[in-house]
Amino acid sequence: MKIFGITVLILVPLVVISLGMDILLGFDLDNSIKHAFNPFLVKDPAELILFLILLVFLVFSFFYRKKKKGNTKGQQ
Amino acid sequence: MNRKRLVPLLMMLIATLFTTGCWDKTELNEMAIVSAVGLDRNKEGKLVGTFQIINPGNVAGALQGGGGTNPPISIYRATGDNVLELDSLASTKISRDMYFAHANLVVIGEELAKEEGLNDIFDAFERSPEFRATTRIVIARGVKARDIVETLTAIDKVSAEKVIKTIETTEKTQGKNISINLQEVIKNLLSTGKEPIISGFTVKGNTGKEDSMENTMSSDIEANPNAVGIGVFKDGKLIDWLDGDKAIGSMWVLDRIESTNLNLDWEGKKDAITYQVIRQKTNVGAKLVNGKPKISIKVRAEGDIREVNVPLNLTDTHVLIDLEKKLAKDVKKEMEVAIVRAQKNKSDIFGFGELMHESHPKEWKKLEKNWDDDTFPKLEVDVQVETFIRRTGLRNKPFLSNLKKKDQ
Amino acid sequence: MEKAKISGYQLFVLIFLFEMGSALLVPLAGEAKQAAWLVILIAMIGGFLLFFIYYGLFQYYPDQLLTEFVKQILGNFLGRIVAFLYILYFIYLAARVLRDFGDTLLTFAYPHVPLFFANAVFILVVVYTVRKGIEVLARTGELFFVLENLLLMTFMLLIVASGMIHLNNLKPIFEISGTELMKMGFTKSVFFPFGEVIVFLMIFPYLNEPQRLKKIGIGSLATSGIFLAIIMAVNIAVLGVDLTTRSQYPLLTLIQSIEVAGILERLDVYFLFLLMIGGFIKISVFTYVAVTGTANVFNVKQPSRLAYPVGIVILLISIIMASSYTEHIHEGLGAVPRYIHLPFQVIIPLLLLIIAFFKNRKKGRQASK
Repeated sequence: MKIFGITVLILVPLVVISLGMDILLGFDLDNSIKHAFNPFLVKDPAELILFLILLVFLVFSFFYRKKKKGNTKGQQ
Repeated sequence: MNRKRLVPLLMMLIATLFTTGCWDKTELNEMAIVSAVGLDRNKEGKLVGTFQIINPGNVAGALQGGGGTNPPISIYRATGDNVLELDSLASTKISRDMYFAHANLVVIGEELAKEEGLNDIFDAFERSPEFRATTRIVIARGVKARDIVETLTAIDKVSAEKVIKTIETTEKTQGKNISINLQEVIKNLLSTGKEPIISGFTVKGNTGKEDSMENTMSSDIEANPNAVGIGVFKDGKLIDWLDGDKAIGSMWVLDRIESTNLNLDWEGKKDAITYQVIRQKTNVGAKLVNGKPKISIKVRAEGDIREVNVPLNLTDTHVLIDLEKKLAKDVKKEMEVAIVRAQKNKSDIFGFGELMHESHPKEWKKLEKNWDDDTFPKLEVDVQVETFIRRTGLRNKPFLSNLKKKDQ
Repeated sequence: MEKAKISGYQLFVLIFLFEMGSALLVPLAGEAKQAAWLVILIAMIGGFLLFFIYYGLFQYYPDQLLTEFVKQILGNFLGRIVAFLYILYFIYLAARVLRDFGDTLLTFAYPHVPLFFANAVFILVVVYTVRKGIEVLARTGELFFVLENLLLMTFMLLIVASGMIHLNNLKPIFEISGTELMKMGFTKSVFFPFGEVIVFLMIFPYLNEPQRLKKIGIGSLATSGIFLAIIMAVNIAVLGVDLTTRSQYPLLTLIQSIEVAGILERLDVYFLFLLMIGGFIKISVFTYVAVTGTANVFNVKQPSRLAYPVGIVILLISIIMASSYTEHIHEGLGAVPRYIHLPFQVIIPLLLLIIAFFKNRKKGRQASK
């Protein structure tokens, strides 16, 4: 769960930075939000499937750590 | 030999007779493989069938590069009152039994489609176990169906194959045609909330020699079947043709555009900028506002700038935003023109009625009766389009932008 | 930090490939026109100066990562925040390079592939490499170094052989005044690609021969700078100023114009290789650094667990950051150097160095007393 927290903590400021870059270029906030998220609006089915698979893996990677904890500690 | 052994032995012998499974056998050399069927109407109102049959030897010869002097297809004709009669009449001219499992294409003559409609034709095709549900349908526009079936073509030796591929490619790259099969057409004929549309095909440069090998022997093929427009049906009869922008507009509404080019006027110069749509998504929603049906369409498209013939600074994002807005306006106009045309025709080719049926089943019962003639033509349709430019090719500014600088 | 060691040669190779990475593709210092190559060389000198700042910091804390010694210098709380900001910086840069890579690939080879797909496939390879650790990355670099140099050499030979180089295109050199050129060299061009060498503050401690670091670093920066300058000069000599600056990828245009003996033409695959190698090493270095840094700041015991989540963040940001390639480049040339590179590459390290200097002098005094 810690990794989940870290991921969110990294992702959110970076999205803000991306938006900030747009604003610095002379867009208003509305436009820059549109520009940030419109690449996700038009999706191929294949793209969507890959996206979901990656998300599932991501969720899996948050919990995977806990299960393996004892095991890997032994290895170290 | 005692009786105990004899009985099983006899039974086994008898069994071999029935387990061979050769009752319904047809050897390959007894089959005439039909690749396309053309249906026309003659002056007496009878059905004229044209059957395109593959000459296997000549197709293979052509593929290996050796042959090619003999045509890869043969044509047989028959006149009758219904489709099966045509089959039986044609067989008097062919040495083999006609085999329809590989018939990929049905061409319907324009006259037949206009005057008698499709309703009387399709039952035989649908019922037959040999015929496939995925068989493509096209309408022969301005010519007889037999003209398209007869014509010899280059590259794809069998013209049925050529017609199908041409439609598929134009749909994929331009969105000017629609590749539609038997099953879909029948489904749309039945539905009260959707009318079928079928691609048109024609042969240009009809010289009378299109059915001889001379036709393919020239590099500039004179009689070449090519796709033209989309035919609109109402109550099973052909009533209108959609061409160019109207065809593309309809395909936008139907969410069948895969890729197409949009031309944009810029500062008085016509078609100065070309934008290629690479992928798009159209969402159509049906609502009831104060008991009145309303359709809202939302289109999102993304693509690249492919051609710029005006000095335009493409490195500036604000210019791109302007372009995106103009492009969206153009697409919207294209779609609206197509919708108005459909409403004028009183033919709901977009399936708005079907959508209404799905989302408001109760109200649909009331609407259904005069959907085509009353409700659909007056339907309020709200179109929203967003286009996104993703890339601009290998150059940023067009070289014209630097030419102009030197002039000044 | 993991228990790993890399040799001096490996570090040299990594810095070289890292610098060449995406800088090869874009028209570097294009606004300097004929003197672009000169500006690159000036920027390289600026890069040396920056490198000395980083080297100075490294000398105070030779066995600590950037994210570790920041805490020593600024105290635990403030240090952590600055370290976290650096992680964001590295991830953002990784995303920028990934976007460069994906858009380039789509523009010239696979226009119908979704950007997300191309980027995702690439980042998965990077994540795999990063999980394997710095040693594997360094060895991969060694392999690619040979390939990249072979490509560049044959490519140069072909250009010369095809007789397309018109040195007149490089004249007049001083259309833009010397001071202007200096200004350009020390502002925009120094940040990209030379200043980005700051990420190696997270890799220097792995070096097994720290005493040679100065030579390795300067040598590597100089080699890559000279290479970049030569390639830009050749670009302009062959294509002319106008075509070079109008091209999204001058190198591609250059490669496409090669025609030797009627058979050696359409060598676009050269560009593809250079793109893959450069992009891969650069994104991998950024990702690796971001992963170890994050593990360090948040006390995650197994950094490799972070590789995949960080990879996904990079992927998402690479898509979110801009709606079009034009916007991406526009940001890269305008806002990013001024508001992101400048503080992270110059201001913060300089401040850190000054504070470290006073802190360590105090310590030194106390120790001598």
